[in-house]
Amino acid sequence: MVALACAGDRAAFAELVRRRQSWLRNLFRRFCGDPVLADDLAQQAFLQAWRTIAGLRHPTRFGSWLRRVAVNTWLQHLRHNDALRDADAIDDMHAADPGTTGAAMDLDRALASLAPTVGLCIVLSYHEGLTHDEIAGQTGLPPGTVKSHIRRGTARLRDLLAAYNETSEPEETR
Amino acid sequence: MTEERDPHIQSLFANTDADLPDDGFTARVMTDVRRRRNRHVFAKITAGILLIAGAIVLLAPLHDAVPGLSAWLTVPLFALDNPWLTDLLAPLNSVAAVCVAGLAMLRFAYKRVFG
Repeated sequence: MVALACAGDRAAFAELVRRRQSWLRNLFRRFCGDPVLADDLAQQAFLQAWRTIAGLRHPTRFGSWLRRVAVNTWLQHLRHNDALRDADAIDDMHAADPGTTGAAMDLDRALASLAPTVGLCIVLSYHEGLTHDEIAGQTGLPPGTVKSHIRRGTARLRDLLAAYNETSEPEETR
Repeated sequence: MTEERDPHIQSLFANTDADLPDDGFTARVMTDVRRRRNRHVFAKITAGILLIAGAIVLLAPLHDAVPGLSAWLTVPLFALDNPWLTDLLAPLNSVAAVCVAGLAMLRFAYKRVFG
């Protein structure tokens, strides 16, 4: 399928989009906390993927390659937009999206309160399960910075989402 | 480097990751892909038309300029009395020879500086 898409087969690429859209849109939702913006960015990332897919050397690594495209799209978005201005609009957007659960809203709000690069590292670590070195490779940040971002971000999320820790603890002891 | 993750935050991430329905998302992406391809084809056709138009406009003046340029390049630097010697030394005793020597020196200098 990936090899066909690399050769310019649009139907194959459409199938890849269909299979990966949920994952990529969820990833962008965690990055920006805004479902509408997340869908726009996911669309941009897929378009960028279509532009450059012919240069994909290892079709088996399509997933990690697409993630890198997504991270670059997000970093580009951060460079071109005032992150603080966007953060102001998040609450209204969440209210308008019926598919977002309370926990997801709280998580996205907590993530939005982090500095953009800290949030990026946290999402890549917790959502994508990447190691610090892999995150450093994908974001271009030094491994030491990634480590401190994740440590600081985790501590902040722990404070902001303390209510979920308390409610989940009795379940785990059962 | 320790890679420990907070288990509570980890489970929160896992639980909030909903399986999102497509809802026309793929169709929108593919419409963009099609639009982009159409724009690409249009840009190529426009560039081709401009190239042909440019060639038509510039071809006649270029065609007229070539004989003049050619005559100028063969102008001898030193007037020689012997016509045989003039013909024999024409490749060296001409404006073209100076141009070629100048270009060779520029190339040599470029290689010395940047090579």
